[in-house]
Amino acid sequence: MSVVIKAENISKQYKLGAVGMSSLSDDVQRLIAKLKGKEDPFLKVGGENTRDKASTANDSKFVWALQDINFEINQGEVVGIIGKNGAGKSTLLKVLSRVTEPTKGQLKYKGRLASLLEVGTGFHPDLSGRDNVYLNGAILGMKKQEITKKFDEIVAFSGVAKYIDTPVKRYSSGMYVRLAFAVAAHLDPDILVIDEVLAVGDIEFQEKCLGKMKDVAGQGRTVLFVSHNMASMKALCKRGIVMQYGKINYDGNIADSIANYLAGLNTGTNNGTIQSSHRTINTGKVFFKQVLVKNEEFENGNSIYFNNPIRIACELEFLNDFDNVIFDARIISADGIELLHSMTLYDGNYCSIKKGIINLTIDIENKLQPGKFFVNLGVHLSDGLTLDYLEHILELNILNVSKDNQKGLVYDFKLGYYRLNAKWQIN
Amino acid sequence: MTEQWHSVQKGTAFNLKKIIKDLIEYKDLIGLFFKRDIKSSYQQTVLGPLWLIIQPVFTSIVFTVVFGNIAKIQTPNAISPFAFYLLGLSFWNYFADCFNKISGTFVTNASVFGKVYFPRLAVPVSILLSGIFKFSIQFVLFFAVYFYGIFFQGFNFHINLTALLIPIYLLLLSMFALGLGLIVSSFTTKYRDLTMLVAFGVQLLMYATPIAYPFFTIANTSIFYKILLCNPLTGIIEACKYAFTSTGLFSLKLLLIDASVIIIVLILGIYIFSKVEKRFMDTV
Repeated sequence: MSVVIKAENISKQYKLGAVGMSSLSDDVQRLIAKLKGKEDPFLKVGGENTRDKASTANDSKFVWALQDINFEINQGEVVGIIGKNGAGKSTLLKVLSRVTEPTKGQLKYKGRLASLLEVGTGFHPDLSGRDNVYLNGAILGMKKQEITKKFDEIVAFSGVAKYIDTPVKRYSSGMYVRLAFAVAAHLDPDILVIDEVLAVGDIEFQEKCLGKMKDVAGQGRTVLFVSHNMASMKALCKRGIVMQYGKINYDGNIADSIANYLAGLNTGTNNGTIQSSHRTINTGKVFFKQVLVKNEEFENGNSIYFNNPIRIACELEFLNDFDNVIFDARIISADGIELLHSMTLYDGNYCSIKKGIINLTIDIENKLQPGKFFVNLGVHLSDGLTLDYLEHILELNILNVSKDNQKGLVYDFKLGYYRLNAKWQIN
Repeated sequence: MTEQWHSVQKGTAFNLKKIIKDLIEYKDLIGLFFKRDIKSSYQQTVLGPLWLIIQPVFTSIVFTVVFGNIAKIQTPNAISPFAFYLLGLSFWNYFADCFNKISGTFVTNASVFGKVYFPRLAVPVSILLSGIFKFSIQFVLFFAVYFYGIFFQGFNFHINLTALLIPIYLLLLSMFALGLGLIVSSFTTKYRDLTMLVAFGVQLLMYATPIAYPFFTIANTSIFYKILLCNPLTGIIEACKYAFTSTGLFSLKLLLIDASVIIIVLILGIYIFSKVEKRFMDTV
């Protein structure tokens, strides 16, 4: 096994705030330092990459999005890069795909490297599907001849053969994405860098993509993959790199990496306050103010007896009136699978909410097997707009004993995540 | 595996040979960008590429009326004033269009550049190609007008051998547009002020180039005469006109000076551009 990618002390610094007169003066200072033969004066400053304002002790204008990243990747390895939003994954991918250079350190790689940070890069809406296949392929680094050779295959994979001579602006978003992914899937690089592109298309197409990526990985190619979908991570990757605050937190096999990542998501269960790092989407109109898990006696606490119902109590603030609100809750397993879902729309009605503070309680029948689970909570509108979304906001610790443990049973087995509601009859 | 390590780090040395090699590697992409520009420009227009002809024809008519009839600027006797303005404008439009578009390379392509790597120079080079395509159509139009003048309006045939140098003049114009455009484009990634400057700067530059008037109408004692000579475009544009009228300024010495200035500007442009392309995503 030979090493094909080497990251040596890669660091990347960004400036906070807007570019304006102050950046001109910084540039002048830099130039003066350079002319005097000194080091860039701004490289010494810079806070850690955290998003919470309060936690940045030094109020520097500069932030290190990546700090001293070191790793080596062997040929044929499929590596997943995991981390919370803002942990530096995308910056790392940008450096890996040569879109931007590191502030310090260096990246080395062997062979042809292609990156896929987005599907359909460079698609021109006015051009036909055919022209765009060529254009996009060439942007991704294919030769015209190569594209011609694979053209039929690409079109067949995308399933839009009928519309191939129509301008892509007339395509549905699904068709657009299918065609774009089809081009990318037929790239033949030695190293492939992919960012979250699987989150597109319908389920059938997603499975097709996942299958294609497995094929790619199976052909001895090196793949670097970033996704929030732990299930596809687990299916594709052997090795995982966990990023936190711009540094590598863990580097090892994928199962351990996922466990490390999920354990690192500190849940705010105890006092119910919400840290901004959990809030992945917010439109500024609705806020969860407080979220608590209550156990059987409806006291606060995230340890729940086997088979005992769970109550989640939330306090929300609405800054506007809405008459088409949907609340939703998801339970995520410790290895990152979105297990269970509940939402108010399953009753067929939208909720009408007046401006102000409301209390929301969710009572859940608990058929969860012992172990650790997480809860995501969201508020949406009927047109699909998400107003507020909290990821891993609660941790549920399902105990392996039941509340009225008269028979002294310990449910210490790991069989699935959830128990079926089944009636057994013995005749 | 015996392949070489590619290295990405700050402060890699400037290597013109490698830049050109990378560009040749991506020649298919340049061709496809060119095709895209041409195809997409006239989508959903009724007249399509006819617009390429309409625009210079109308500008030339306006110039003929304003500068010829109202301001009474003398144009060479060899061709009609309309043909004279059309000739100057086709070369000028080529330069100005390419310069304008190349200046916006980073800003207009930020979304693509931010997602995938390819030699960034492919974009400006493809802009030059589309420019040449548009120029060719306008140049054919000029020929039509020129021969119409000879056969139906009684003008004499004044093409001389320097017309063979036209491809070199075009090359110089391309290099100058590329060099200047790359410099401006590199600075606009951070400071958009230049975009404003270029927008009207190009218009002003046209008046500092003998387009709307022949060079010989400027008295060689005036300060404007010296300013005009400092403009590398003057020598080239005048030489283009000389090829068809056999009047005006044709000086090999001036052309050589212009060419050296242009080569310096171009190398400087490529140098700055290659520095900026590696980190412009952080500031654009």
